[in-house]
Amino acid sequence: MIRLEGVQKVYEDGFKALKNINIEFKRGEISVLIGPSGCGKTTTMKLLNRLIEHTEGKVLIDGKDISTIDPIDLRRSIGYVIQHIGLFPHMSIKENVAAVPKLLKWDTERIEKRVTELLNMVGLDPDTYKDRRPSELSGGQQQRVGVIRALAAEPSIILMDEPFSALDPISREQLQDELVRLQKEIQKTIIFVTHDMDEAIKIADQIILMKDGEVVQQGTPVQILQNPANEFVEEFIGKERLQKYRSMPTVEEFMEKRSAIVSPDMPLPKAMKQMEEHHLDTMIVVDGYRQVKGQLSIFQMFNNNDANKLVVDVMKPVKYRVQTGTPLEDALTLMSQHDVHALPVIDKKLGCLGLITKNRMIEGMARIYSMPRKEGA
Amino acid sequence: MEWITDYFQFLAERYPDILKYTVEHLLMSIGSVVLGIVIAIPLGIYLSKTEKKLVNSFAFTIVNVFQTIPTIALLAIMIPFLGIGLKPAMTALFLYSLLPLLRNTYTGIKSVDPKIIEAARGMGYNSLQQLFRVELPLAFPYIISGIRVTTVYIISWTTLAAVIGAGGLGGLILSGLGFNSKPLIFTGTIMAIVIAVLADHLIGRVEKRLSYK
Repeated sequence: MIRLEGVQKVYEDGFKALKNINIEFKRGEISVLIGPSGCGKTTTMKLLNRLIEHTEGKVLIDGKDISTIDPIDLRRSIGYVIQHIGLFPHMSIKENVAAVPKLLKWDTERIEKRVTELLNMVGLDPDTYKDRRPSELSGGQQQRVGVIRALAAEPSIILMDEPFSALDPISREQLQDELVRLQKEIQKTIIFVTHDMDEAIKIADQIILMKDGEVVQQGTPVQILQNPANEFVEEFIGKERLQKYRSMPTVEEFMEKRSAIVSPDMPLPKAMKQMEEHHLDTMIVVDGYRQVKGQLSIFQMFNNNDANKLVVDVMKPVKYRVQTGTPLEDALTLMSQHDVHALPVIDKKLGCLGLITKNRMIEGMARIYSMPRKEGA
Repeated sequence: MEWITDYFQFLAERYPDILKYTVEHLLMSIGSVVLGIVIAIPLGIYLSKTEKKLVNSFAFTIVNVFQTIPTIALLAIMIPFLGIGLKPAMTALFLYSLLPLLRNTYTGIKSVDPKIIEAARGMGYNSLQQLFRVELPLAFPYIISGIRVTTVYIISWTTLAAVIGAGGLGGLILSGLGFNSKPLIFTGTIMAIVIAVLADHLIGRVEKRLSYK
C-alpha cells in the first residue's frame, strides 16, 4: 500500500504544484489519477519513483518513507510505463523487455524465460517478435511491449503515465481491455495517469480527481458518477455521461431483499426452506448489525445435509460486494470477471441491504434493452 | 601512350619513397583524429550535460576560433611555440578536428528523445548506465558521422603539414613543385585522394554495421 501524507511540492520559483495531498493507493488495485492538464496528476505519480522530489510531507510505501530508499533501487522495484511508449529504439524487443532484469543482474536463462513468458502474456509470439526493433511494430504492439517491460522484474507497483493516449481509438480500447484482463492475473498496485474519463471509468478501482494541485474527489467510478462532489467534477465528467449513468438501472432496484438474507444462527433446514421458497441458489448471511458474515450456496447445503448444523458452520466468506447505486452493467462485469453468481449489496455505512443475483439481472437487462437507444449508449 | 609507361617506370623507381610518405601521411592524420576523438568526445558529453551555460559557450567559442584560422596560418603560428616538424603539425591538425567532433557528439546526445531518457531514469538506470547503454548508442550515428567527416578533411589538410617539415604526401607535392616534376605532384595528390576515399568508405561501413537503424 502506498500512502501520501500531507505532501506538498513547491518549485524554486514559488509555484505550488501540489498542495497538501493525502491519498492512499491500495494494494492490488488500479488507482487512476485524473484531471485537467496542470492539475498535478503526473507530478503526484512521479513522486512515487522519485523522478520528482516532494518538498513537504511523507510518501510511504508499505509503511516505509521512500526518501530513505536509494532512488535507483526504488525505481528498479517499481514498473514504469511512459507516455508515447518510450521503448529504446536501438534495442530489440527482447532487450527492451529485459532492461530492468539486466540492471538487476538476473542470469541469462532466467531473463530469457521471463521475456518469453511476458511476450506470450500479451499475445506477441516470442519467436516472431523478440529480435525485432520497436520501429518494426505497430503502435499498439509497441505499447504492449512497454507494459510488459514494466512488469519484467516482477515489481508489485506499476506507474503508468497516460500510456495509451498516443494510440488510435481501436488499439486504445484493446489495450484497456487487456490491462483489465491482465490485472486479474497479476494483481499489481497500479497508479494510472490519464485525462480521459471514459478510460478511467473503464479500468479504475479507485479514481482520484485532481485540480490545481489538490484532490477534488476520490472514490470508485460509481461513487464519483453518482455523487459528483461539486460543479467542477460534474463538468469534468460531462453532463452526457452523468445523464447516462443516472438513467441506468442500479443494483438495488433488482436485488433480493429480506428473502435472500439469513442469520448466522439459523438451522440449515430452515435456510434450505427459504432457498426453496424464493428459488435462490445463493443466500447472504447477515448478523444483527447488518454486517455481511458470509454466503451460503446450494453447494454447501448439498455437502452438509445435517439438521443439527447452523448456517454459521457451513457458510463461505464473501469476496466481492457492490455498493448501492452501482449500475447493473458494472455489477454484471464484476460477476463475470470473478466468476461469481451473486453479489451482496452494501449501503454507504457498509450495512447489507440484499443480494443481486444473475437471475434478477435478467429482468434488469431486459429493461436496458427496452430503453430507447441513445447515441453512444 | 608513352607517358603511361614512363609513369610506371617512375613508380617502380620511387615506390619506397611513395610508400614512406603515404605511411607518414596516414599516421599523422589518423593520430590527429584519434587525439581529437579522445579529447572532443568526452568534452562533448560533458558539455551536453553541464548546466553551466557559460562553460558551454566558452568552449564552443574557442573551438570555433581554431576552426576559422586559415590552415597555413595556423601551421605558421605553431612554429614559434613548437618549432617545426611533426609536433606542431599534429597539434594544428588536432585543433582542427575538435570542432566537428565536439559539435556532433554534443548534438547527438542532445538529440536523444527526452522521453526515452525519462523512461531510462524511471526504470532505474544510473547516470553511467544511462550514458553508455542509452544515450551514446542513440547518439552514435551523429558521432560516427562526425568522425567520418573529420577524418576525410584532416587527411586532405595533412598535405599542408609538409610546409613546416612534417613530411607526409605534401612532401611529395612540394618536391614535385621544386623539381618541376609532374609525376611527383600527381602521385602525392592521387595518394591523398585514395586514402581519403578509402577512409570514408571504411568508416561508412562501420557506421552501417553499428548504427541501430
